[in-house]
Amino acid sequence: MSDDGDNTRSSFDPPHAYLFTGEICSRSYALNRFAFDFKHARVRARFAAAPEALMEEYGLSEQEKALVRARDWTGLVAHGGHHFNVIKIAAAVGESHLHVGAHMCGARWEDLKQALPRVVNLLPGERR
Amino acid sequence: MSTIVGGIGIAHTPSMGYQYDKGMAQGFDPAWQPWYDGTRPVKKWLTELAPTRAVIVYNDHMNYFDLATYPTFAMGMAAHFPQADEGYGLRPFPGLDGDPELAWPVARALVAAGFDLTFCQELELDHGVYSWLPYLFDAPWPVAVLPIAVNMLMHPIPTPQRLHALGAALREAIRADGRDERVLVIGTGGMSHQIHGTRFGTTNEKWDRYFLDKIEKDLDELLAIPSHEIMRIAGTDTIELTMWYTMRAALGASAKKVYSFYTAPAVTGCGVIALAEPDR
Repeated sequence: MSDDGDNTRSSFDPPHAYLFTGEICSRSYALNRFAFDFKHARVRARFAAAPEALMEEYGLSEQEKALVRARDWTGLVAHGGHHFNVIKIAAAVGESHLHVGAHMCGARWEDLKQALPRVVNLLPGERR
Repeated sequence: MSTIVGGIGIAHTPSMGYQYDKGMAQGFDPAWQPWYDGTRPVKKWLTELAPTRAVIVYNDHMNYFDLATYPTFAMGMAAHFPQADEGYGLRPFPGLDGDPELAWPVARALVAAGFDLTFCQELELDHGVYSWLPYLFDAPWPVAVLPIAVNMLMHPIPTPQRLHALGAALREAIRADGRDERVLVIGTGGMSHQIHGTRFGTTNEKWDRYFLDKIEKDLDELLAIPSHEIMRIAGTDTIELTMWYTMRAALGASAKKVYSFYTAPAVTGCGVIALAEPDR
């Protein structure tokens, strides 16, 4: 996987990072509620059996439903899902946090794994 | 009056817990063996220190608290705290006991000092506690705990200065509790890590080692670093390290480092520091 050579750049700006704020939470609460509840086995089972009905019940928008159907982890986080919640959906369909990371980096899982850890060595105030 | 006998700052990460269970069953992965070996001296020190209670300042990771009601500071007041199931089933460890008779006077003092806590009669503890717990203690756990959960997930989160002030208030609260406990204060938060976005997997060992060095004697220098600067150089999730400030501020200025250790096994720096109060 190629590193862009400057992965400390613009740390809070997507797509480098997705800082979760209260404003984002207010906008995307239904999605986060939905994803959080994947911690319960009964919700995971219902998703496996009838995903559309479950998404409807949680009040997901058409855009959110499409992102879930596409397993678009990056899109879900960019849309306002907290990554700790989004990885619960990923886990329920057999994808690890590293798979989610690879999706975010636009990399193959194997290539990201090979590239880890992506080392930077900076102290406060330093730039490279 | 109860006494704070020491403090521990320690990283947490889900893989730390997973690797413990795997390591104990079939031997440690070469990347994780150093962390297991490196925490042995802390475990031994704790056995000698023999704390009877532990205040744990940590954060939950959407495993117990959900966004429906998200507390900035929440204290566990129950007599027992189960382990949280993070979706992969429970790990083979019992829950931790609490101590309401100690928690309430401490909470009352913290509120009097300006910390308007959320009080939890139910609280399940996730990897913020359980990932490092078996590296430091053997079950059945020898200490009862007072967990204090801090919002680290949804900005705005508490400032470094506020987390420092919490530690100072905690010091006074423990000393005025009317009991006779030997209290250990633990601050836990992940060291350098970035687990979302294209910066996924960033680790900054230089920062982590600097932080471990400064937390003992130069807390003021750390406090002067703006939160956004920590997030810029070490990853946005690294802001969890500010919970170590609470631990350090709960100890006296003369507390001394007994031991520290650092390794970077995977995508999160793993470090620990043990600080002792004089003559304890």
